[in-house]
This record gives sequence, structure tokens and C-alpha cells, in this order.
Amino acid sequence: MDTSKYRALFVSEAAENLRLFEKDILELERSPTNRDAIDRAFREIHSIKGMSASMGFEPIVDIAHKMEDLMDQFRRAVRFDPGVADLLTNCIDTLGAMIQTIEQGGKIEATAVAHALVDALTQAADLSRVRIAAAAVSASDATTTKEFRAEVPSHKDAVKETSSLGVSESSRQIPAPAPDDDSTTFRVEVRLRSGCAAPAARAFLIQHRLAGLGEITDLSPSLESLRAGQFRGLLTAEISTERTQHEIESAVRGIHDVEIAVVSPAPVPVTAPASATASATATATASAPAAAPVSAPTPALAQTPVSPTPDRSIRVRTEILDRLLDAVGELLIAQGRLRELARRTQSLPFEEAADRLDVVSRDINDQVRALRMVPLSTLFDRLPRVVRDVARRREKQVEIQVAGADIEVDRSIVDAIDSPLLHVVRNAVDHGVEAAPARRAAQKSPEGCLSIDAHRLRDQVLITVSDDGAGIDPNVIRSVARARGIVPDERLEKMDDEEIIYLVCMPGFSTAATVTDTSGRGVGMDIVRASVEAIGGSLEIVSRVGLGTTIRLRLPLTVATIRVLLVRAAGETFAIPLGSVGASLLVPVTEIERNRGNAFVRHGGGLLPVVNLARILGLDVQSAATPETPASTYLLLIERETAPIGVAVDEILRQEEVVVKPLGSLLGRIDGLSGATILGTGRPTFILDVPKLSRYA
Amino acid sequence: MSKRVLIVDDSVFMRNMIRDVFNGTDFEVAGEAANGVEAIERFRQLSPDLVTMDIVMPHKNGIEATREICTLRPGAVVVMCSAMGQESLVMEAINAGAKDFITKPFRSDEVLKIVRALFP
Repeated sequence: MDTSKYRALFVSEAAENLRLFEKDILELERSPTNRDAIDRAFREIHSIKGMSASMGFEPIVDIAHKMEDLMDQFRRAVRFDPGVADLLTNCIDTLGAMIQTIEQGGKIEATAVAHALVDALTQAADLSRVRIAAAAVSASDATTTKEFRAEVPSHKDAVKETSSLGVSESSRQIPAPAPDDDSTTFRVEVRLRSGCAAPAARAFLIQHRLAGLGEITDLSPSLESLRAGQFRGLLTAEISTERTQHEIESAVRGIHDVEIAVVSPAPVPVTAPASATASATATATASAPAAAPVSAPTPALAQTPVSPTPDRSIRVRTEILDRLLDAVGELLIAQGRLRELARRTQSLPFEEAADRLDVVSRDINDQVRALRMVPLSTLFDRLPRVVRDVARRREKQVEIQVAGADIEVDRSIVDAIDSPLLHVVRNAVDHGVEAAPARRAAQKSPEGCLSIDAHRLRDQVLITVSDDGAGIDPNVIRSVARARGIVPDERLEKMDDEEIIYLVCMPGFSTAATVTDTSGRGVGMDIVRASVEAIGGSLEIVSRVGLGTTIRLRLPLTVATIRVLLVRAAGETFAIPLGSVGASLLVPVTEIERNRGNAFVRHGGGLLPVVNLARILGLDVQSAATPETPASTYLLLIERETAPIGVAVDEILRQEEVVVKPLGSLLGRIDGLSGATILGTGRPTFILDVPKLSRYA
Repeated sequence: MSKRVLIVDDSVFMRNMIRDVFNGTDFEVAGEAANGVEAIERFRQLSPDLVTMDIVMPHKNGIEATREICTLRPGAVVVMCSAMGQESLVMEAINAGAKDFITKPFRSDEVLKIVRALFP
């Protein structure tokens, strides 16, 4: 079968199941008797196995099969063993990597790691079997313990047998007409194809069909052996029936995977051994489960509560949504152009039609954006695992609380803050929360607390990562900054403690005394801030020594379009994101004071430094300036982490919602340009990152 | 006249794959269900000639669903979709009334052969 067309669906569904599986394992680590989580985890890994088998991804099947087997043990015991959580999380990583390889079009192989995992899983499952059997025995009558203990572990599937298969059921369902004088006994010999997938089940089906045609008086292998999966390819049965030899033959030959079926009259018994055999078989069948520990508590497939409305959804590839968004962006641009034209023609019907089109395009835009929304749980679900791993490595105890995971944001936001958020969380565990002895010394509970919380504020989402650790000591930051010359000493003197803390976001700043493999290297807080700002977000740090640190990521819900203020400087139009503009002021030129080449205005009780946008952009201010010197100038109050700054522009045109187009690799490298857009007039315009630009003032 | 099929599986992936098996054959997919409860509901609505039934599913597993469907309509043709390592569950499903089973990974021609044999 050509499986290539299922590849994308496989990747998305397998990855989703793996993610849910991981979530359930972490849940089970905390509460090992959570039956629902055990059942879910079993189903999830089972699904992965089934899909992988269908795709022919054997290395995944091998691992998933063993994982399923292990989860099955826990399901029977109604108890998860937290001791295997590490093994399972390793398996999750390996499977995740394999799925990723498949996604990238690569070929997966059974590596040494994969083999080692399979071995470890097999051992773990065997161990669990013995434990479960022992537990079942100790739960049953104490006086019989010895006999059972000797029997149970030796039979691999003893527990499975009793819990999943009721023999009485099979005898009840088979219509077995009592043999009378008209019946003949036939011997039926069936050989299955060698490649038959589930031979014991196939043989069981054959005997089941035969039982529907008469009474089986002898069967080899026995029903118990078949149920235990013991079958070597040849099934022999004796059946007492009123049907003809031909009827029996054609019934059996029609069964899938039957290679040869021979039906012949059975040798006539001398006395009545046939019925004796039959009853012996029946007795054996009925007594076998009774001998095993019947107290096995779980039915094979536990029922979960009925959900009244199953999810009706389809999976769509992200690229298609990206393309759709692009197309809608183009539509909005074309629409803007049309509106502009309509306004110029001053034709009322034309303007009305353009307005109507405007409403519809905006609606489409909203719908497309809604399609791209994904819950923050796609990010948050991984965090407990990350926290656990880092905490374990650093020998710390950390309790994690996550809230707001159901808030939905644009897929691109999720992608953009994925690694920054991970870094912030790792940092909190690695450098924030103290180890238990230090916490005790500080009269805190030995277990640190890390909370990750998302809130929606109109068109923003606020993600707060808060720990109750040691906090950031401004004095330490100050001395490191001085030692490394990160900011000039005189500026350092003027900065208060709150400002000082933000120095951790400066490139090259790291106060970690030792380099750890978690957060001491790789992306630093400077990258975190840059990534957050790149999508129009901002970062806030609040820290108190001894009490902990809170980091807030303020993010837009979507990056697809932003509201900008259009301004003119040196004859050019520029777009400035509204988010970075605190206010706009019209200031009489006479109020601009100059001091040693720097310009200021008095604003809000202090001095606001003023820079000219055209000048910091390096544009020719003189030639573009209006002939007569204006009496007043427009100042945009730009918020920055340090202090606000006033940016002088020639003219403020209007606000507009624009589609952000990323810059190519060449222009993208220019600091201070955050993107481009096409205005309603059809003219392309740069979107400026003014806070960044103002550093060049 | 073509036979109408109800596909029951909690995995979209598997449902798609099974749907494709019947594509262009004398079987027509009448509906899909993602769990046992939905399977019974859809079975009542659609009265399909054939049900392909996954075993491990949320809300109600395939064996329970098969049992109920076969109680609703004793002649119902239910074919289990099993995975390797589920032999004892398949046997349980056969006792519950399943007429045959396929084992993942399956080949389309095998599946068709098995289901056609059930409609002589």
C-alpha cells in the first residue's frame, strides 16, 4: 500500500498522541492511581503503535509496543509505577525524534538507543507482572499464598486471562445443538498460512465458526492454549454435526489465512471417549481461571464516562493556514487600495461598494486568524516535564502550577515564544529556586514553587513565570555589569535597582557562577527579550531578594496585522507600531531647549530628551524640510525600558491597521527596521522599531 | 447494490486509511464513528451492512460496542480492526459477536477479501 499520502496525517496524529501520553505520564508520576490517566495513556500509546504499524515504521512499533505492554500491566494493577517514569520519558523523547525525522522526510532506523529502550521496557514489564501477581496473591486469602506464588509468575498471561476472558460467555454464545443420532463426527485439520498476522486469534475464529455448525468434541491446541497465544500453525478439531462434510469444508476454507483445510470422518470411538474428552475439556476450561488469582481488579478495557458531544474537527496543515493568511493579507492590501481610489473618485455608489467589501474582507481576516489560534497548552504542556528534568538534575524540589493554558493565541506567537519561554522556565528552576537546604535555612518550605500563568488583556496575552526562589540581587548585577563593562560606570551610578535588574537582558550578561547544561549557555535573556520584542511583545522583570522573581511576557494575540501610526519625516512616510507610542505631543519649537548639542523638552515634571526621526535615520533633514520653519513640532513619546524619549517628526498622518511583511535577509539585518507594509496608496513603507532606533540618537 | 460500511476508530489516520480501502469498490462508506458510544448511535441511524470496529477506544471500547450492536441486530456483520498483541481481545470480540478481524498493518486486498467473504 502506498503510505506516503498518509505521512502528514500520521505525523500530526502521532505527535499529538505522544504529547498527550507525556502529559498523562507526568500526571501519573504525581498520582499513580489515577485510573483515567492510566487508561488514556494506554490508549494513546496503543494508537501510536497501530498507526506506525500501518505506515511500516517498525522502529516506532517496537518501542511503542513494549510501552503499551508496560502500560497494560499498570492498567491491570490500577497503579502506575513512578519508578519507570524516567524510562518512559526517554522513550517519549526517542519516539518524538523519530516522528520528527519522518516529518522531515527522513528514514528512521532502530538505533542502539532504541534497542536499549526496548530491552529496558521488556524488563520493566516483566517486573511489573511479577509485582502485580504478587500483589494479587497477597490480596487474596493468606493461607493459599504459597501455592499461588509458585504458579502465577510462571504463566506470563495468567492475570490477563482471568481479567479479560470469561469462558462461560463463550459457551453461552455458541449455539451448540446436542448431538443426536443423525449427527456425524468429523475430524477437521486446518493449517494457516505462515505469514498469518494473529494465528492464535485466527485459530480461535475457526473453532468459533465450527462451534456454530455443531459441537466440538475435541480441540488441539486447547482453548486455553489458544487464549494464551500458543499456536503453531495446525489446528485439529473433532466436530459432531448434522451438516455435511462439504458444508464444513467450505465453511472453513472460506476463512482468511487458511492454507489447507481437510475434513474427514472421525475414527469411530470404541466406547464413549468422545463425550468424556469433551467434558474433560470443558472442565479444564472452566477450572483454569478459577485457579488463578481471580481478584485481578481491572476489566481489560475499562469504560470511561460517556462524552455527549465528541469533538468535530479536522486537521489542516499549518502551511495551508499560512498561505491563507498571506492571501488574506493581500486581499486587505488590495482592499485598502480600492478604498483609496473610491475616496478619490468621490462616487457614492463606488464608495459604498468599497465599504461593503471592506466589511467582508475584515470578517474573512478575523475568521482566518481564528483558524490559526491554538491554545497555550501546546506550550505549557511540556513545561512540567522540563521543570521536573531540570529540578532532578539540579537536585531541587519544585512544584509547578500552570494556569491559563486554554487561552488561544496565533500559531506564529506560539512558535516564536516556544524557546524563550522554555529558557525563562529553566532559568527559574536552575538559578531562581534554591536547593532544599538553602530554602530551609531561609525558612522556606523545602519545595520551591514555580507558577506559570497566562491572562488575556484585551488584544494581549500576559504570560507570567513566577518563582519563590532567591530573587535577583541588584548588587550582584551591578558589580558584574561593572566588571564586564556592560554599561558605562557613570550611567550605572544613576540606575536604580529596578533598572539594574534589566541588565540581565543585555547581550553577554550571565551571572551564573558555573555553566550548567540547562540555562547557563545557549539562549540568554538577551535572546529571550529580542524574540519577544520581535513579535511586538515586551518583557518585564520584577524581583525581590529572598522572595523570588517574576518575569512577564506581554504578547500580542496575533502578529499577522498591527496598528501603526503613519508619520512623515524628511519627505518620507514611515509606520511606527502604536504599541510603542505612549503619546503624541504638539510642542512649540520655542519650548525645545538645547544643552551641549542635546535637545530636551519639559514634560511631566522632568526633562524629556528629544531626537529627530529623520536625523537618526540619517536622512537629509535640510533639503526635505519645509521652506518656512514651523512654529511647532510633533513629538512622539516613545516608551523604553530605561526612560521615555521624544521623537520629532514632520507630520502625523493617521493610524492604520497594516499587514506586516517580513523583510528579506538583506534588509532584515538593519537594526531598527522591524518589517515593511504596503499602504492603501500602494506605496511600500518601512515599519520602524523606534525604541531600538533611538539608541542611535 | 453496494454494501454500506460504518468505520469505527478513534484515530482519524486509521479512519482515513480504512476509508481509502473501500474507495472505488462495491463497498460504500456510510459513516464514521470515533468511539464505542458514537458507533452504537451511528449504527442505529445508518443500519450499515458492515461495521469495521477498532478495539481500544475511549468512552466505550470496541468489544462492548460490538456486543451491543450484535444484541441490537443479531445478524450484524462486525469486523474487528486489531493490532498485534491483541489476540486475546480479538477472541473476546469474537465471543461478543464479531464475524472476523483484520490485523494492523493491513493490506487493502486482504481487507477486501475478508469482508467480501462475509457477504457470499
